[in-house]
Formats: sequence, structure tokens, C-alpha cells
Amino acid sequence: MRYKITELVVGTLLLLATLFAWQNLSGLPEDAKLFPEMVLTVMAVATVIMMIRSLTGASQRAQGAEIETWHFSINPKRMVGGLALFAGYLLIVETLGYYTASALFIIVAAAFAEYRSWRALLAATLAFCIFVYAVFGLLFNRPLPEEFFQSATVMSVPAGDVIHA
Amino acid sequence: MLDLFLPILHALPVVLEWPNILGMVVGVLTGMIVGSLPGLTATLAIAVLIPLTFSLQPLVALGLMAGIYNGAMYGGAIPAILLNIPGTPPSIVTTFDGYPMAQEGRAGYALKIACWSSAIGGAFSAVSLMLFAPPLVKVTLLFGPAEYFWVAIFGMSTIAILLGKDPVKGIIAGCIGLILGSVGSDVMTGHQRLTWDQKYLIDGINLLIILTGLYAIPPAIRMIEKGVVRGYQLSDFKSRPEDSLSRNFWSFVPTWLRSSAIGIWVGILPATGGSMAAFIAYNETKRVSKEPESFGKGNPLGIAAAECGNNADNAAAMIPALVLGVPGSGVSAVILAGLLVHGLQPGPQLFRDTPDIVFGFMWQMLLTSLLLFTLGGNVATRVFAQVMRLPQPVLAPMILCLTFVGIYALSSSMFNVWLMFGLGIFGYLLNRLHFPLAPIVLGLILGDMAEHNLRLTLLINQGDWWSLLHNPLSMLLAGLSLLIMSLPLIGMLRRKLAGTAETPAAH
Repeated sequence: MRYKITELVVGTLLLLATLFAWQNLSGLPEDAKLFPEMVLTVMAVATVIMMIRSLTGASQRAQGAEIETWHFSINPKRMVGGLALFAGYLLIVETLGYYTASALFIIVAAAFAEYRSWRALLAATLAFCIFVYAVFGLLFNRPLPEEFFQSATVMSVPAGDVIHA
Repeated sequence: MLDLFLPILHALPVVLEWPNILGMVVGVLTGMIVGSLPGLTATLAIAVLIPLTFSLQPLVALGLMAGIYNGAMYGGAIPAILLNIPGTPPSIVTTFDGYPMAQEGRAGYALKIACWSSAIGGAFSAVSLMLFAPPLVKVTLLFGPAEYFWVAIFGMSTIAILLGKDPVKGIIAGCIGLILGSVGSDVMTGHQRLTWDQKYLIDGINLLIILTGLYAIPPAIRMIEKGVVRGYQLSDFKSRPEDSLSRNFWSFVPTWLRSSAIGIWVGILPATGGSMAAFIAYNETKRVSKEPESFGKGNPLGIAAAECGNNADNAAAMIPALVLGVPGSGVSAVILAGLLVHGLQPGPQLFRDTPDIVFGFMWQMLLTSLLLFTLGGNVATRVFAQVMRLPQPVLAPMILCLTFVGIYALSSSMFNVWLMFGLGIFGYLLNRLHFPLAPIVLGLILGDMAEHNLRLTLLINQGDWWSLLHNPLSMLLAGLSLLIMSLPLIGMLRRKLAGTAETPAAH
């Protein structure tokens, strides 16, 4: 039953997205919208078929015995929490800097998932930060958000002072 | 004939330059680690890796990918043998005889067989890639825009319909990929499509954002959900005195040859993959065995068949991918995306314009298989197995932090990172409802090819739709696509007919 409801909700969302995309294409010349409109038509028809199959139970039967024990999430609280923590990480990463934000995120996310071996967690976090710094910072020179204390140091230098590399 | 294979030899010195060798070694080691961690797959590792290899030379990046691909397929055998938990989907078959052997105190021997069989299967597969891909490329020179359109449709339909359990969901997933690929400026008219006036979307959605979002975020969130805080405890790496691979070498040879042939054949077929290769190879070995009852109770030939068949699929799955741009499996679709990211378009032009890279990649598939002999020994495997002690709640946020590094570096834009996050949630939703993800990637890769060639055919023939079926080759490809698309209907009819035939008999 839960599988059926989730499928119907997702089917409805897909149909809405198809309509939304179709509407966006409406002002374009025939040539430019030909292919996406063909795809959207196939997608809408397939989604309606999926919803009908869901209502008749064919969609559930296609998945076999697995469906009897199906849950959308093993632990909904942890799933939502995990996503919220990652969203929080993305919100603070540009302000705090990559390494600070990543270290905080790893510790908080692991603690949230009830990992309590603090010494091992700190060691793993430190090892991860060193690894990323060595490989992506030094070796590949990838751009990453600057640490908050670095930008604070740069800002605190009085105007006119020369900063030597 | 010789001119077909001379470029292969020419590419070897390039592959043997030290940055490329280093790439392969790091790739195999990373692959073995990833494969040995249940829940992590080669697809995930390559999806996370591709954005990080953006600044590398193409052959170094491809060496890493080839190494991860081959390494992960062997790495999956480590938990399969030691814990009865398959590290990768195809290593389910390895558990049948691997775990009973470990319980008998022969884990070391079982791992050695898995390592050798993986290396031999992978090597045969790479040789088949070198032998079959160049002549097949010559065939594709006969293709015009209409034929390329049908090749794209054929590739899409096979993966969408045959990969998952529900073909309708496969079709929807393929359409999602095609629509995501349509976002941005239309190449022919310059009009913006599906951008909703977002300047970040004018150039389209980068393939890497979609790959990382769909393949890396859902498994990481799943790990946080499961929250398995204890790492796995391992059994001992013991062997009996009679367990010597060099002494028993010749008893494995027929199994290796048979399983390699099966793996290569399954690899070339679209939408099959290593799991099917491993199952068929195992069943065939059991069928021809004089002691079929010993399979499933710790027969070393069972491990040899499963691992050899599974790895023989790897490079063979790249044959249709490199020649036609139609990947044979989910992992090869992601590797194909990696090629595109490095500006390498599959098809005849890839072999004509960048022979050192394409043939170099074939050598890398062979060399990374052979590297398993040296890097997959008992001591190394013991070290990699320690990774299984790493608890998932610590590993998951680390994976998420690595996805940030790759996507942020594309343009130092948080928009891309948030887009990846959104696609990650979408991927999670699709995953839970059993939508296959590979058709989305394939839609992204083949969408452009399908649209471009469709429009070109119509333009050349003044909008005549019948021009899509103007010669026997295009008709054949269209017919094959139609056949694949009607397979579920044929199956349904057959089941119905079987049902009606059984009912009177039952009465």
C-alpha cells in the first residue's frame, strides 16, 4: 500500500513536471522544441501507464517478493536528518571554509548516526582533511572555499601594508 | 588488417609513461578498497572521481577509471568470502562457495583464487576489446545521420527496457535523462530551452553534476540511515598445506577459459552486466562438473567461475560504448560519461583523432587486470580488508564532502552544488521506487546524438519522416529497437498464453 501511494505521488509529480516543461517550451520555434516535446510526450504516456500499473498492482508484482517488506526509508528520522545536515553543511561551507565545515560536518553527522567512538572519529576526520588538502589542495590545486580564519587574517592587515607571499 | 592493429602497439609506450602507470596503480588500489566496502560500488567511485580528474591528462584519468573498474570487481570478493556479504552486486555468486571455504579455514586460498580469476578474466576481456573494437569501427563508417539516430534509440531502449525489473520505469528514467540533457541553449537555433531564465543553466547542466547527484548522494544518505556503527570483524586468512594455487593451476584453466568466453559475450550484449556473467559462468561450470553437488559447499571452481566471468564482462562492455557510444552496462555508461567530460566523443572519430587515448585505454584495461596479480596478494588483501572496519556513519559524510570538492571546482559556483544536492534527493526517491538510474545517464549521453541526427536527417530530406527508414541498415536498426521495445509485451502475451494453456489442464 505504501509503495502504491509513493508511486502515485511520484507519478503525479512527474506529470506536473512534464506539464511545466511543456509550458516552458511553448514559445520556441518548431525545430528547437521538436525533440524535447517528443520526449515529454513519451514520458507523460509512460508515467500514466506506471500509475495505472500501480493501481492494478502490476507495478508491485514486477518487483517480486522484495515489495512485501518495502519501506521508503529504514529510518525516516535519520534520512531527513542526514539530508538536513548536508544542506546545513552546504549553507556554512563558504562562510567557514571547506576544511572547518567538513570537519564539523563529519563529526556531527557521525554523532547523529550514533557513532560514539570520539577518539577514532577525530582521528578519521583529521586524516580525511589532511588527505583532501594533500591531494586536492596541493597536488591538483582545486579551488575550495577559503577558511574563515584565513580571510579574517587578510582583512585585519592594515591598509597600505604589503603582504609578502 | 595490420593497419587496424598497428595503432594499438603505437599506444603502448604512451601508456607506460610514469604518470599513467601511477594513475593505474592508484585506481586499482582505490577500486579494491571501494569494492571491499559493502554498499559502495565502482559506479559510485567513478562518479565521485570524474569531477576530481578534470585537470588531469585524459590517459591518467582513464587509467584511474580503468583501475577502479577492475579493482572494485575483485574487491567485491573480499567481503563476499570473509563475511558472506557481497561487496559489489556480481560478487553475490562468489559468496556461494567463497564463504563456505572461509568457514572451513581456507579463506586465504579462496581469496587467492578470486584474485587470479579476476585478473585472468579481466585480461581476456581487455584482449577482446582490442581485437573486436577496431574492426567494428570500420562498420560504423557506413552509418549516416538516420542510422546514428536509430543507434541512439536502440541503445536507449535496450538499457531502459532490459535493465530494471519494470520496463515502464526504465523508459521514464531514460526520458528524464533526455530532458535533463535538453536544458540550455539549443545548438542549432541558439534558443534557450528549459532554463527558466537562469543564467547558470544557459550552458546546460554539466553531466558531472547529474552523475554525482544521482550516484553518490543516495548511497551516502542510506549509510547514515542504516547507521552501522560497528566495523566488520574478519575471519582469519588461513590456508591448508594442500591449498597451493601453483600446484592446482591446471585444474582451473578450463573454468577460466569457459568463464572468460561467457563474460565477454555477456559484456558485449547491452544491459546485461557482471552479475549475469557471473551467474551464467557459475551455472555452466557446475553443469559440466563431475561433482555438481559440491558446488555451494566450498568448491574452488565455483569462485573461479564467478570471479572470472564477472571480470571478463568489464572491458567487453566497453566495446559497444567506444564504437557506437552505446554502453553495455551502468558502469560503462559512467566511464563513457568520463570520456565525454575529457572531450572525447565515442565513435569512429575517437579512433581516428585520438588513437593513442582510445587504444591506451584498452591497454589500461589489460594492465590494470594484470596489476591485480601484484596488488591483490594475500598481504595487500589483508590490508584492504581492514577498510571494512571503517564504520559507515564516518564514511558517509566523507563521501558527501568529496562530492563537494568535485562539483565546486567546476566553476566555484554554489548553484551547481545545490543542483547536485537536489538531484541527489531526486535520485534517492527514484532509487527507492526501483527506477533504474543508468537510463538517465544514457539519456544524457545519447540525447544529443539522437536529437542532432534526427534534425539533420529531417533537414537534409526537407522534413520527410520516412527518410529515417531510407535504407536497409536504418530499417534493421529501427526493427531491432522496435523488437526490444516490444519484448515486455511479448513476455506478457507468452505468460497469458501459458496461463490459459495451464488452466484447462488443471481442470
